Amino acid sequence: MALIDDPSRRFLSEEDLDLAALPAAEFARLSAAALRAAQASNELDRHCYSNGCIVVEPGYEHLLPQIRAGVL
Amino acid sequence: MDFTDACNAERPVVILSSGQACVWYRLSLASKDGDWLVREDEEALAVVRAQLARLGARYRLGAPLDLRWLRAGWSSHLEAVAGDGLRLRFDFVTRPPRLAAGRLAAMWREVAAGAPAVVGRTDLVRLKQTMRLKDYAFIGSLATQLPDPADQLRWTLDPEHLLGLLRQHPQLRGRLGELRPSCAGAETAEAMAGCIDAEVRRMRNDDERRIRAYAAAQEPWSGRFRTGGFDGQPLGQAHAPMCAAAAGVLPEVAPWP
Repeated sequence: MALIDDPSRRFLSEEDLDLAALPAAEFARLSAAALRAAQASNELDRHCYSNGCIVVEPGYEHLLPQIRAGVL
Repeated sequence: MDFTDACNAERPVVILSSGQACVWYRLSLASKDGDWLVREDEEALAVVRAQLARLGARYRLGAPLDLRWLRAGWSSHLEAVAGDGLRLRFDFVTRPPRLAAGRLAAMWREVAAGAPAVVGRTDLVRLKQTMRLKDYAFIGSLATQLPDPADQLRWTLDPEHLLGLLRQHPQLRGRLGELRPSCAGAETAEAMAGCIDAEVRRMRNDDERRIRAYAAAQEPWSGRFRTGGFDGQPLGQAHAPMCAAAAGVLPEVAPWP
């Protein structure tokens, strides 16, 4: 769930926002905020990969359950 | 889209894919990884490597951005740190899983003819059939956005939606076995849900088998990559030695059909 930096939406998740209806500037602003917030997990997903033929570096297979579940 | 636009300034050489394509379609706000399909030719790869070098990107474990390995379905992975401290990840394939060669060629023709350099919704549904449970939420959302009810029927993960489509479009009932064989014969929402759940499990397992095949095939290379220190060097400096090191170690034939 991405964090929202607008106080009026602070307790809303992405699922509560009609992303398609947001004006482009608002979407870009929230998108940038979500990307910044997502950096908090950089250390957790340091050894993880997506979209290819690798999901985790050798030696980090213990992360596979979290990867399958989508936590990482 | 900045990286996409920079790479495509002269001609289309990359197409935005996966998580970033979901952002493009406004199914999510952000994706931490940038994913692209790359045109499978030397000039295209040179353009992409030049743009990555400009950003200070470095290789992560994976194949070199080189045709010898990308043609075998391997993926290339790089990382950079932006001026504002954001970690940027770049993932590339030329032969994405589950997209047929003919469809891939058509996609490049469409982009060359002026379509946005973003994977289309139906292709994105196929790309998202991964081992990760969270990708199926995107597939479910994408299915509701497909204009053709037959495509919605083929990809929806909502049993009520599927049954509703059959009610609204009775002509599709006779095509259920062709469009959605795993759901043929299910008449109730509960039965349909069971069929869809089994289908999702099968797709996730198929993808995990593919991942395991590639992981086994790259085992010797992962050790060589670490000892070579290629992730500690700028891309321009690392690329040629990394290709030399991968030759004969990282298979140039696909380990998965």
